[in-house]
Amino acid sequence: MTDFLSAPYAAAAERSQPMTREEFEAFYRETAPGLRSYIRRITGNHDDDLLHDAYVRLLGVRTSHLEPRQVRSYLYRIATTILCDRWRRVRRHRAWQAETAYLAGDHQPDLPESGFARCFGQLELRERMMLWLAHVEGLEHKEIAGVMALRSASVRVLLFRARRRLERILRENGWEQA
Amino acid sequence: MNIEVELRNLRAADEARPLPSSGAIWWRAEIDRARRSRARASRPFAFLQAVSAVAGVAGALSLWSENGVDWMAAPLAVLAGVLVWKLYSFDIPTCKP
Repeated sequence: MTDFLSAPYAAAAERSQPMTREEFEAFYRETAPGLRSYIRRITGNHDDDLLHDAYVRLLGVRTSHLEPRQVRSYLYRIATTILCDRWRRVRRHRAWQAETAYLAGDHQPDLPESGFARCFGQLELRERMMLWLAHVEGLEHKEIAGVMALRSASVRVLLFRARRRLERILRENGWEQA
Repeated sequence: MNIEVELRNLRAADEARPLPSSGAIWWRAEIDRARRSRARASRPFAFLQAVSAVAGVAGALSLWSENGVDWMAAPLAVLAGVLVWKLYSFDIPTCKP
């Protein structure tokens, strides 16, 4: 598992520097569209606050010792952690109906959804994250494991199941050869 | 139907919406960083402040126990406490957003 907080990374981070403004601008231009789309498709809403929070937290750590691909994985890990924290908080306050609907998948989308997006929204939160990271962001199993705090071997199995489940949902909704 | 292609189409559909400004994120991070460094810089002063407050209270108690309680000295003790508190409450400017 790629643990960015493990001892070797922590030691290198001590000698490392935070991003400069120019580096951040370039990194933001490259990664923000993808991260925003990830948040949009996982939560069901355009949540720019979550996007802000993820980048602010990333800027708070030293990353010059990491490869660009690792920094991107780290960003997704931060966003996923924030998202899961919010989800847990919302679960604890079930009475807050609007918020519960926000992450449960039965939300009122803020954009008209295509049939495929509706089917994708029926998956569990973790399944959606995994499929998106693997098939849209092109992350390797090891990187997904790092982002979602799972074992690499578990990712392979869970990804396979998520894919099968999406195919079943698509078939049930009339998509041919799903 | 290809799931990868459909997912990438979803991503492409999201790109029409303009991105939030990166400058706002940068400055929010700078303010956070400044707040953290100010908290870190003021930690030794907070420690000194606590030690001084404890020493002041212990001194006042010992004087009162030796000489008997003099209630006229109470406002002076309060003033001394406030002075010690203010003395160590520095505002260290580290960032001007």
